[in-house]
Amino acid sequence: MKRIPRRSIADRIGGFVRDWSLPRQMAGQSSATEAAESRLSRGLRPRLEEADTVGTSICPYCAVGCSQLIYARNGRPIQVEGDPRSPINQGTLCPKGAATLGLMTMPERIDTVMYRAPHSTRWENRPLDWAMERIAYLVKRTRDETMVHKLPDGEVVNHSLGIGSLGGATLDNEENYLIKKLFSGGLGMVWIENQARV
Amino acid sequence: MPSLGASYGRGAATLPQWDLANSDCVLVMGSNMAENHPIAFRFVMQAKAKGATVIHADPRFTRTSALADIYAPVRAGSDIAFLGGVIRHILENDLWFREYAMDYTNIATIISPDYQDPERLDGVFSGWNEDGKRYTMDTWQYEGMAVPSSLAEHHVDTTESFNKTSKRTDQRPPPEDRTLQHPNCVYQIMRRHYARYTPEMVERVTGCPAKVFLKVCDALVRNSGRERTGAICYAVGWTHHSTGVQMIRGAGIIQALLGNVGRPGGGVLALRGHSSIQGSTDIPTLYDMLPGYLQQPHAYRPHKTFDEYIETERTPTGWWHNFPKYTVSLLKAWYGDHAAKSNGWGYEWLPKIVGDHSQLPMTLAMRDRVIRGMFFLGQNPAIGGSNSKVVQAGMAQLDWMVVRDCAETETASFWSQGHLIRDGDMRPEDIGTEVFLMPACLAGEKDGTFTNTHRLLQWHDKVVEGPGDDRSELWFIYHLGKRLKELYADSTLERDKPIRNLTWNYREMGPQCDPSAEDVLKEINGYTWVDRKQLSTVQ
Repeated sequence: MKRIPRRSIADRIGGFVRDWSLPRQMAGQSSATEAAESRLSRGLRPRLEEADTVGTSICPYCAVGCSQLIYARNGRPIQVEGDPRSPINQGTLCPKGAATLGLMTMPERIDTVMYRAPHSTRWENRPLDWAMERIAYLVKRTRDETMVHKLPDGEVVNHSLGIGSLGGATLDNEENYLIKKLFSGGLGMVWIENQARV
Repeated sequence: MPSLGASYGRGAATLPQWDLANSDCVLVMGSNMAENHPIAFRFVMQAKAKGATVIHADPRFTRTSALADIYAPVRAGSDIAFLGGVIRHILENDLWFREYAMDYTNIATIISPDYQDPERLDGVFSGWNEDGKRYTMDTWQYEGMAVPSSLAEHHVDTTESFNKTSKRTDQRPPPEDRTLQHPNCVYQIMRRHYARYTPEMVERVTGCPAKVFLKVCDALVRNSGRERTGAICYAVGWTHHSTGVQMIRGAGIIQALLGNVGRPGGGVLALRGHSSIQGSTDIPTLYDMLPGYLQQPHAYRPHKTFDEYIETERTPTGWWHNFPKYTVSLLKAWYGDHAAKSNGWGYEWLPKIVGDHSQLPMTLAMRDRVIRGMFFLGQNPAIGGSNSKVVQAGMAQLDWMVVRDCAETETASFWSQGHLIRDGDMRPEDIGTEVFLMPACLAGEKDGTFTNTHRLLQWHDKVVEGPGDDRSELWFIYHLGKRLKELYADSTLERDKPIRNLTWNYREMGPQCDPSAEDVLKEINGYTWVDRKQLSTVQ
């Protein structure tokens, strides 16, 4: 935000006389355009002018499905607003949706993997690659320990009751598809569930 | 909530939100729509501006009530009595839309002569099994045949004879009495059943004054028929009741009687809470369904082989007679060239469920050490689950858990700040769970689609990279799968075939090797196997 310097009384009076709209309107300028301008407003620029990217998003909150435009500068979002092309929200957003920029940039957001070892009393930051390798190892270990290929009567069940997954209603369709494909079709997990049951 | 699916054959809102603007009467019940879905509520207000009557039936006088023409106060949980009263009002005063209901509903269909009303059986319907405390539904079927409900509802305790009788639906239509005089036709059964829901009974049970209740009935009836339509909107005020299914069914019956489904401005609109809660049912991360409402194979049903599964689940009439095609397409998409006719398209690689694996039993399975590792993917059961202390006690029994979220949730920090620690039951040192909190991307930081409350699929762009090590679920699952496929690459065990044979070819994009969401979407959409051509229609 630009700082506006404090002005002297004389400056203010001078400014008022120069910016006063009425004489300019009487001189024929339009009250909606030229006569509405002041020195200050002439210098103001829209925040969106600073954006170097704009993309379409869908509001992450409820399922009404309002479209959003996300403006970004140098890879960081600077503005989120309703997309006027949407037949649902026609450019509007509710207070919660209008605060999406706050969700994306909130100070509580984490940006590294946090790891808590068994019986530990604190979080540690760990590299992403290390965590992925460790999780893959644990999944394999638990799956191998709990996998049932056949029931005693010979029926093939190919399942593991040892691993579960919960969540999905806030995720993308593509993500849910891959979760079910890997966890169920690949690993044989049966405890797969999300908020949608209710 | 398997209710819209059971009533209308598809479990989703029957109208797009903007169609509410064409409505002549909107009943909002079990929702504070003006505050919780304000953008969708604009269409209700547009309808009101054109002269529609807006009704709010709710225990609380909220902003939705303030904007409604009629506010009907009801006691929490008494919705069934209210809706039942509306049904009685319509039937007893002969106010239903006859031409519509006679041809588009089963109102004239004759039900099995073995069916008996609760009046005769001291409060229970025929088929009650006192020992098991549950119903068998054989006597509730159409006379001489059973019509299968939409596939998603099949898991609701159907019996084997049901499957056999349902095969007869292609031989002749179900028997009807179009004079509606047969004592066991749907119309007469409904009249007998709903006779008790008088305005006085509604007032006694719901607390809503009979005068106000009748005003609501009148508005609903007046705004239906050939020239007019009405809509009903609900949200978690219904679905979070244990009787939510029955409430939605009540709304379903009202709209079928009034001819309010499939016409402009008419319908039942489920106002869903999460951004893709409809999508996560259609392409389910649910235990009992495969993508596209196909049944998850069950160890205790006739699902042993591919042929048996198809024979059991296919229906002779209706769109679901395509069931075998959908099943083969899915197996082909998952197991690729390994799925062939000779091995039942790899059907036996799909895991079979053995019972109820939903969230509540899952919590107990964690506590009882059946489940040893858990993924929490954008869900926070430590505060969002039922009986949060049991949930957290369950987490403390796990060997490991992975939490994927954009901030440190109560689930992630249960071991240091949860109920067990607060109440002095355990110290962090006592909890052996290995916890990974993986930073997650939000919409705008990843490509993908959400399915909204009226089942509209909308794409969102990756506009910026997520901060630091934040990754999408798509990235996480794809790279986890890639690593696991490597770990299992040399296995010769039969039980490891599914993971080894799983198709996992998605393009990797950008500096973080994001899997292409378009490739995944293309697979969901379906393509021809030989020349990989995307399908443009559903066949």
